[in-house]
Order: sequence, then C-alpha cells, then structure tokens
Amino acid sequence: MVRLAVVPIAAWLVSSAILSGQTTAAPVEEQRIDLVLASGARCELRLVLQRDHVAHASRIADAARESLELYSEWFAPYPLDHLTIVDLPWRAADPEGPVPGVVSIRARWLQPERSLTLESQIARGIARQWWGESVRMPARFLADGLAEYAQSRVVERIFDRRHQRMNYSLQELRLFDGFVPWAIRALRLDRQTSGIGRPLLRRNPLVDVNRDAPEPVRAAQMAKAAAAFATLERYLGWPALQRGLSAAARNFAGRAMPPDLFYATVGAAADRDLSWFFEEAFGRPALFDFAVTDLSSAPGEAAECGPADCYRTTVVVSRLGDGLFTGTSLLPVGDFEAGRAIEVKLTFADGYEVVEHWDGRRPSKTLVYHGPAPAVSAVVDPANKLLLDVNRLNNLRTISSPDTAAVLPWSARWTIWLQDLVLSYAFLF
Amino acid sequence: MPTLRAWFGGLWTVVRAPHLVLFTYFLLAAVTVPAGIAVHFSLPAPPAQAPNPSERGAPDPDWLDEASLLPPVLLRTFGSSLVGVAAPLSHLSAIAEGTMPPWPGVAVTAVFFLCWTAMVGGLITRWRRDARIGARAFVQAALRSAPTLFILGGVGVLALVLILMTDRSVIGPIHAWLTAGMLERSAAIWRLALALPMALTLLVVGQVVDYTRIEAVVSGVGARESLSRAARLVRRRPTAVFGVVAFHGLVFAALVAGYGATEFVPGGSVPTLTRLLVAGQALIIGRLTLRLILLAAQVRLHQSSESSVSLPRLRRV
Repeated sequence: MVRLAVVPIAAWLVSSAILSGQTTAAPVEEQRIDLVLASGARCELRLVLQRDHVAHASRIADAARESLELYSEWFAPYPLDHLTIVDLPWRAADPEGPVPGVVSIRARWLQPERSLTLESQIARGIARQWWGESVRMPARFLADGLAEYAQSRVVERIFDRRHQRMNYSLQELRLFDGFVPWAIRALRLDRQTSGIGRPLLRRNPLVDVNRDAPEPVRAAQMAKAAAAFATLERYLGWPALQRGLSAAARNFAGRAMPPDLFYATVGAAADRDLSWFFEEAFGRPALFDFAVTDLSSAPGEAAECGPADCYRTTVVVSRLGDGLFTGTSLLPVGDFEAGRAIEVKLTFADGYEVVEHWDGRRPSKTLVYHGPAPAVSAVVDPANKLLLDVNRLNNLRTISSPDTAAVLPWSARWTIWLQDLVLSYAFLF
Repeated sequence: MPTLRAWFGGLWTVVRAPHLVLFTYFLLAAVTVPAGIAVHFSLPAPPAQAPNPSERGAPDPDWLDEASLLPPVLLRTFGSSLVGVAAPLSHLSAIAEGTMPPWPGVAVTAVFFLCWTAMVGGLITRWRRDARIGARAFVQAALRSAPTLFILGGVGVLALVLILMTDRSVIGPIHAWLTAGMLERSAAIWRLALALPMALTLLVVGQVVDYTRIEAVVSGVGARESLSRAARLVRRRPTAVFGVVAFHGLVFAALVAGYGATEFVPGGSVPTLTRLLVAGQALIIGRLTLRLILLAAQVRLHQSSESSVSLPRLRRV
C-alpha cells in the first residue's frame, strides 16, 4: 500500500519541480539602456531583473525615465550618470541601507497594466536619490515623506499618459496568497489620498514622525509626512512649493540638511514663514480633525430682523484634535484671531454662499447670520486643503437629513457581497 | 456519459421547478437584506466634492476607507472587495487561504446554513420521486430527515474547519520554507501543488457528506450506516461522482467569468444602480440555481447507482 502511494507522490513532486523551473539556469537577467533626458543629460540605466519579471522591463524603464525627467525638472539635475534598478528576489529581506545610484524594487510576476504599484516603487526609490542621497537628511521622515509625495505626482503623470485619465492607479487586490492580482476598474485612486498613503495615516493619526520605529510604523510616518507636503501644495500652490524644494535640492546637494534649514528654505522660496505649519505637522504627534458640529436655521425674531422676514442661522465649527492649522506664527491679540487658514463655507437656500476664515486656535467658533433664506449646508475646508485631517466625513453638515439615495449603490454592493459570502461558505457542504 | 447525463438531468429537474429556486432565493434574501438595510442607514453620505473633478459620481475609494473606520460593526467589513467581481474572487481566495469570514458573515451564514440543511431533506425527497409533492409533504420530509442532516452538517463543518486550518497552519509554513529564494512563478506553482492534496481531500469529504445526506433521506437509516453506504458509492463510481462536480465547477467558473465580463462592457466599470442590482442578483440566483442543479444531479446519480446494483447481471446461457 505504501509502495503504491510512493509512485504517484514522487511523480507529483518531480512534475512540480520541473514545472517550477528549478532545473533551469540563473534567476536574474541584466539589461542596459541608454537614457537621454530632455535636458540633454545622459544616464545609463541598468536593470537587474528576476527571470520571471523580465516582461516588465519596458514598464520599469518607462517609469525610470519619467521619474528622472520630472525630478530633474522639479528639484535639481540628477547627480549621477548611471542608475541601477535591482529587482529583489521574492521574499528576500530589504537591503540594509540606501546606496547612491541603486534603487531596489519588488516586482511581481503578474502585474496588471492599470495598477501602477510597480511604477510607484520605482518613482519612490529614484526620488530618494535626491532626498536622502544627494541631500543627506538626518530626519528620515522628511526624506521618506518627500519621496512618497514626489512619487504620487510622477505616477499620476504616468497613468494619465498611458490611460488618458487623471488618476494615480486602480485599486489592486492580491488574491490566492498574493499571487493573483485583480485591478478593480471602478475604484480609481487619487494621488492626494491613496497616492500618499492617507488610509495608513487615518489608522495611525497620532504617529510621531520623530520616533525611530520599525516598518509598519515607519510607513505611517511616511504617510503623515507626505500628507503634510500635499497639504502645503494645496495651501501654497505647486509653483511655490516646487521653488522651495528645488532651492533645497540645489543648495544642499552633497551636504546634510537639518530639518530647520529645510523648513526655512521652503518658507523663503514661498516668501512666507511656514514655521507654524512645520511645528504642528512634524514637531509633535498632533491630531488634525476639524468638523462642523452644529448647523441650524430658524425663523428669526422680529427684534433681530426688523419688519422683513428673515432666518437666523447658527453654525458651530470645532477643532476636535489638538493639531492647529492657523496660517501664521503670529499670536492673536485680545479677541482678534491671527491667521486665516481654515475656510468655512455656508450655502443658503437662495443660492447665496458665504466663505469665512478661522485660525482654528480655539476649540470651536460660532457663526451667526440673519438672512432672507435658511441655510442648506456648511462645510469646513471646502477645498480639501488640509490633507492631514484624518476624518473628512464630519467636515460637512446639512440642514435636511442626508441623502440616503446617494449611498444606495454601496449598500446594494454590500448586500450582494454578503449574499455571495453566505453562498460561498454555506455551500461548501 | 453518466456525468453529463446526471448533470443535465439535474438541470432539467430544476428548470421544471423554478419555484424552488425562488423559495431558496427568498430565504437567502430574508437573512441578508435586513443586514443590508442596517448598513444603508449606517453609511454617511458620500462627499459632494470628490478630490478629482473628473471622478465625481464614480465610487470614491477614500470615502470607502473612511466609512470602514466608523463605529457600526457591519461597516468594518467595508473594503474594496465589495466592488463587482472582486467579491466572489475574494471569497474564493479566502477559502483557498483558509481564512474565516468576518463574524457578521459567520452569523448570517450559520442561519442560512441551518435553513438550507433543513430544506435539503424535502428537496431530496421531491427529486427522488421526480414528481411534485405538496408543501405539507415537503415540510414533513424535511422535518423527518432534519435531525440526521443537522448532525451530518455539523460533521461537514468540522471537517471543513479542520481542512482549512491544516492548510493555513501546516501547508503555509511548509510552502514558505520550501520556496525561500525561489522565483515567484515557481513559488506560485509550488503553492498550487501543495494545495492540491487539501483540495482533493475537501472534494472527497464533500462528496461523501453529500451522498451520506441523500442516503439518509432516501433509505431512512442512521448517520453511520448512511456514511458507510455513501463511501461505498463514491468508491464504486468515482468517475461519475467527481465528473459531476468537475463539470459543475466549470459552469460555476463560467458564471463568475460572465459576471466579471459585465465590468468590461461600456459603462460597466461604474454601473448604474439598476445594472448593479440586476447583474449582482443574476450572479446570486445563478449560484443558487447551480447548487440546486448539483444536488438534483447527485440524487439522479444515487438513483442510477441503486438501480444498477439491484439489477441482476445478465449472463449468456
């Protein structure tokens, strides 16, 4: 009986070994490509790829070229004339430290065309050639955050060029022990949310970027720093931020750049003092969460409105966390606020809109209006500038009950998901 | 071929009794729709202003992620696997990886499984006679065999949990050790190879449990004797038994592929609510129908096995 079982077992093992290619030769393949960048600079690109990832060579080279072009344009010319991209073996440990001119990535055997996780690794690694290598940054979170922020801009460009749509990537699921990818066509990721790791920040809102931490926490630190730079981009505008980053990269090439000098350089390029922002974002583990906590509209009293009918509208905006987003380092004088960074937009039933500003220093602020129409909605930070805000669901409040029809597709999807789950497990036996 | 004859016989049996498909569907809806309604009223409104103007109206992954962190327990199951064909694929993947479903899903699945197990006795009796039976007779048949079927159902669940846990806790580490330093493609092939014995075990145990249920309802004997007879049947006619399941698997794969294909038609990636509901419920009704067809096919195969055993062998004189 045992002898009878040995033969099929041996055949199964041998065929698996042959199929898996264990009898064939070396696992890596090397390619060399001469890149000529738009500036005329030349760069020898060397790809060291695992044998089962060679099909991705053109994607890798394309992402490398795009990254080098854009970073050279945004920050400073690429400091070297060569770049090596090493595709790490599957499940190999991460290399000890960064090496100038070398970027390590983890390509996957199956990689959907519309999921740019491979390109994001390449763009992130190449960004570190500037932030961390050329400009040595003792504050690791700054180098990590800048690399993460920069890759989000590059990958968005790549996706737009390849697929004619301004997205970062499609959401990718990894199934069957991670070997089989599935790109979800309906879930298009945005570079200013998923592209900078905001889901990680949301799950670690009090992460301290100044603490030396192992990998899971380090990823959250990187997400927080990237969200800070994305916030600066939306607050200052990309041209102002790019000027500051370029000044930092050019003036400190080959040297160490402590955080204070970096903050001062970026602020000087934007022609404003940004210490209020960097202290809150990086100086301590602050929680950023602004919300509209109350909104009411009721017919006003005759004494308030005079002869005509009017409505009295009351809005309360609150700072639920301890993170400040004031807009200035100046301290308030008396009851006067200092800073206008937080916007509050109120919309009335007759179409009239009001935009107020708040420095966010006090825990809450109450706004009262008398007008001919009741309020419809109030939203804090309507332009989504503060990407450090970990909860955006409480930023909007409406007078009428929320439109439940808008969530019907999601509750329908969830019900179908639940039905499929029940059938998958209940019908196994 | 007995395989195709049994499967298509099962198909014809179910087609002639669409009310059974509808009844099972309403049973499933009764246990799942209340949870769906609870989720509907727990969800916050999507943001009026999506970050990217071109994406307003499309599903917002950032909102989805924020909603999954809200306090209501059911919302903790929110994630990207809700969308389209990712749902059935992620469930198949979870079973292959030996992952248990989230506990709200376990609770609902348990309720449905109990109802389904109770129904099976009536279904087998109806298809065994190959004639309509009244609702009272159906219920009586179901109640008569329910205790035995619940025991067998419990045994099946225990076997499933054991197989999945073994796959996760034994095969997983063996695979990690075996494939260290290998190419990813090679590791994928080895994972498939190592999963094969578990999959085959699951298949064999599943078929034995299925035919044990049929035997218990048809012959009315106890669980132990039914198990013995079912094992004999599976051993005696492996080609037909596993052929029916294999063909069933192919049709199921085609159903899931068809559902996935709806995402690639124009407008399919961000469907309207109507299209979403129609496609989704078509998948669910398709799965229910396939399961009923499989049960009917197994009953036919069992019936044909009985008749081939009882007929004397013809000998030329």
